[in-house]
Amino acid sequence: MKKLLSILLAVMMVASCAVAFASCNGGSKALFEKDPEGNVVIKIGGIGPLTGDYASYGNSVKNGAQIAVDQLNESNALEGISFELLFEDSEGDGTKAVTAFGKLQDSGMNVSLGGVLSGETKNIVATAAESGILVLTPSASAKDAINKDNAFRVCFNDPQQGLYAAEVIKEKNLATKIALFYDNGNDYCKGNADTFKQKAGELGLEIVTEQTYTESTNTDFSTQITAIKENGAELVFMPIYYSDAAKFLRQAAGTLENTVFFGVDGLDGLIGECGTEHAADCEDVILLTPYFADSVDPVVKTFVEAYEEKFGATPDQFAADGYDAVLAIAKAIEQNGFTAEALEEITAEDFNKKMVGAMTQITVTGATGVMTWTADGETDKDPSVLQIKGGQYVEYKKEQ
Amino acid sequence: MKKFLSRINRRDALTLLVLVGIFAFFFIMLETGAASNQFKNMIIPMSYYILLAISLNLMVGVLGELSLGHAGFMSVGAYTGCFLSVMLVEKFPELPMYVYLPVAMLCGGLMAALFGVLIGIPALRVKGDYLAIVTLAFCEIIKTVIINLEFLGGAIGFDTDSIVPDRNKALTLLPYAAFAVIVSAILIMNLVRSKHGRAIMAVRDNRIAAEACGINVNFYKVAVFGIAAFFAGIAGVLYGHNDVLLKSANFDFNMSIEILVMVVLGGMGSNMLGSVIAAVVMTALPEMLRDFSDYRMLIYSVMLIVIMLFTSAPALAGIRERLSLGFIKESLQKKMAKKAEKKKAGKEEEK
Repeated sequence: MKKLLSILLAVMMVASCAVAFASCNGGSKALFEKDPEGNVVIKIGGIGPLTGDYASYGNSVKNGAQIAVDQLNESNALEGISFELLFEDSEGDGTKAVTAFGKLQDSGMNVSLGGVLSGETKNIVATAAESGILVLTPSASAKDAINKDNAFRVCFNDPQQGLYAAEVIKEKNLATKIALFYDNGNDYCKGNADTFKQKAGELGLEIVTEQTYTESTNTDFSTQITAIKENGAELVFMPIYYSDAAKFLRQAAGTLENTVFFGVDGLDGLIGECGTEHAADCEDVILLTPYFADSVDPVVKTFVEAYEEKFGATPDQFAADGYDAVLAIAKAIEQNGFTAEALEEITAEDFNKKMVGAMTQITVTGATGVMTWTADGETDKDPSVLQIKGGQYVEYKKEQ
Repeated sequence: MKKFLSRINRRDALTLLVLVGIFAFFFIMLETGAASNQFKNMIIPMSYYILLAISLNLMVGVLGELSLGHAGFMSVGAYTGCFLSVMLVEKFPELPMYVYLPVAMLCGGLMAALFGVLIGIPALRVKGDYLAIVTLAFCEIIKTVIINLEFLGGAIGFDTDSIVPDRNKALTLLPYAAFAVIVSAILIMNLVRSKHGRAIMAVRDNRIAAEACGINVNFYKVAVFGIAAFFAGIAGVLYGHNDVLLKSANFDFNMSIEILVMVVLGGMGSNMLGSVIAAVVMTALPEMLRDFSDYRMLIYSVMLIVIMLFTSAPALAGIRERLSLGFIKESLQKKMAKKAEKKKAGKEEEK
């Protein structure tokens, strides 16, 4: 019982803790390191789920941000300044994201990309408030995930999208009888659905039924489909992610013949998910998204090409958000007119303050559109209304 | 005090000593500013995982019933305690933390205990693997119910930002965490050593024999469920006051299994020291492996397998024996005895 092993472990733990966790704080380190070419390195610290259920989102953001960092460094966009991306795994857990944030701080992070998911970002933002470091999250969309002054986001917040969607449906006169279909265990879906419901009520759109599912019941949607049909819905608003949407559409094929399917940016990726085999299922689906990979916009094109070359996959919404976040950080540095010499003099506090201050002044043309930011951290950009036609996204036009 | 000291045995004293040592180490690291940011952010999670591990050990190791629902009890405590704290802070903004946090801990613990008793009663009808499934189902029920409760934030999560200290979070919460963990450990160890503890272990070892001796098996089973849930609830309250967002999806069976792994790794049974150390190591290990980036989880899993084999494989019993404290003590005693003999012999020769 009184194993020496346990004592040994305890001693080892204390010793290794003391070594591993204390070494980083010794002495006052310079705010910025220099790379071999003598450039001042701005360290951008990202956190997101690289393993676990949400791993694809985290990896997308990481890859997208990496593309931006590579492009900035290659083109030498800022004289004497280079960028480095550090990315830590959060496993999608808020507590682990906070320790990962600490790890990044220890590694000398200068600007934070917050988290990928909303929950973890909220935790990171709360921790980051102490140092005042600029937090620019690519994809945390929950309304109060960025409730501190130093936090901003690239994506829309959930309420915004639900709002836009209701407005578009009213404006384009798509339908008056609407069915809601979403994952009520997911904050992204729920946030969107809630504001949509509210706005739809204001605009006089009738919500005839509200059908929900959860992560553990996302395989069989037959009851929901029957209910939607029985209630005579003309349009199904589905603020859900593309993988669930593909399953839903496949099952709905044949039953919900003349119904319009309408989604938000989570549906980006639907064409790939349906593939050629089930392409007919996602035909005519309408979605509201600030980014799509087939766009002819030059910024999107260069981004998509570089991404496909490096990672062999088409970048999704998350990747585009990650890309834009890094571009915005570079722009904020430019806005402040930081030179390599100026950066060597500056204190961490001043740097953070100036970076946060610059965020509301910059205009960034990224893969997700032309963005500006308000003081409460929200971005302002126009989503496009797209429709899937023949396996392609096209600008939505009402059929006569 | 004397009575208390006389009741404490050496094994428990060692556990307490290690616990006090761990928290003293945390305090020193934080106070002197020697702790890195990563370590600073790990201290409170480490504390509540210690509490979770020892409370689950009470259920799994002492009572001998496998439970996969510990995260469920934890979430009940977390939501109750944090809801109360948020309400108190809202009503009385000037209320200091040393008032609302202990109140929240107590209420969170009691509510979790209530649920523990509730789940303990139907659990009397099943045991072993079947009970594990029942507790697993309970954990899922709690998760789903909370997701659908709007006043607890639903899927978006319950915002606890207003009750979490803005600055020096770790240092502010550490005294409460240390107090909660150490007092809970003393209570649990005292319970295990008491008359009731022996009764609980008798139920574990042979239910029929225990019943024949007049032990009320049902009472003890339900009581242990309640007590273990109580401490899990307290840990949950700590969790909620450390994180700014409670998401019920986080309290899934993965978390229960994580706690169970700590208990199994530390050694199931009446020795709590193993659970304490395993909780600390298991929380620190994945963080310390961050430098391996992509291979982190792989290395972590391999290390788990190696440790598990080392601590329990029959083939390695010899090595373990040699490393045990008892063995070293014996061999030391033998050496001392030999030395003493030699000395004696030498003296006699001199004469």
